Amino acid sequence: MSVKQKHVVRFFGLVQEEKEMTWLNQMALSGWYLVRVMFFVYTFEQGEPSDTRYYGDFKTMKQHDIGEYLQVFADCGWKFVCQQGSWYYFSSLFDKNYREVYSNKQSQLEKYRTVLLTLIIPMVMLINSLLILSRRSERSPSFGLDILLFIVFTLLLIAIYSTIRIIGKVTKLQKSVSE
Amino acid sequence: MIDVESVKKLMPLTETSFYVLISLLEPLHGYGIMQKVEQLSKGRILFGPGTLYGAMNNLQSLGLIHLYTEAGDQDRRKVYLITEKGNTLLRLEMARLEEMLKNARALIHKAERGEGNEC
Repeated sequence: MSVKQKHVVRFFGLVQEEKEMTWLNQMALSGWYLVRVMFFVYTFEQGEPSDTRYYGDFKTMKQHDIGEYLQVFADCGWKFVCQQGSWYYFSSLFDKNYREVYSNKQSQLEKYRTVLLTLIIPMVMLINSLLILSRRSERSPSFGLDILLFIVFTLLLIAIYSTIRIIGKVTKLQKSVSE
Repeated sequence: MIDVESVKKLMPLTETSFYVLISLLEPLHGYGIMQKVEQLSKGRILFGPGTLYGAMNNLQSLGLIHLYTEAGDQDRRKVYLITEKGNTLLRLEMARLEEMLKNARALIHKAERGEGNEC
């Protein structure tokens, strides 16, 4: 007997993490458990409904050893679900043994600082390609180039928006840490 | 040789770092640290996995703890131990905390006595 699966397309931005997790928690509550995330396509498997909590942690490859990382989570009752880029999805049953992934604001702050640092590289790349494209379009304008310019510009706006929102989050956390 | 001045720049330690450091005066893996801190703080400090892993990573990159044994094939848990640098920092931090406590005790004592005189 095969397990019933379903795919759902949902778009969540970088700054909509809480919203995404709440949605995943609700899915589990109605018996649909996340197995995979790929470019906004969420794959679920049907099971017994339970009060399960999801958490997306951010870790860049450079700073860690995956085996050990997943082990520490497993030891705290957090099961590894899937990975998308630098985001690792975990789930934990919400019972008396449940514990938060970040038990203090200081360490939560460090997570978002890493997210922020990681955003800088694609942002510089986007600005760079925007400059190159606009120079080329000045010399020889074409419809194709215009579309490309528009795409890069939109991506840059999204990146800037996300950066500002995360800076806001970091500042808020920083304030509550230093108080 | 330990450069005390460069160690001082790492002060003050967060509660998390402090507890991880004192736990690693004996070789332990992540799960062991968690259990020990929970026991030492009588259940007040329950490290989340993100917090604990971040602290271990951070302390290792600062050279305050080091890998004691690599993880085995069956077990992915790595064992860590405090370094000489970590030990130096711990002593400096203890002296700082002791000074704070000593001052606080003396002033609280004085204030309580002062109140008593007014009555």
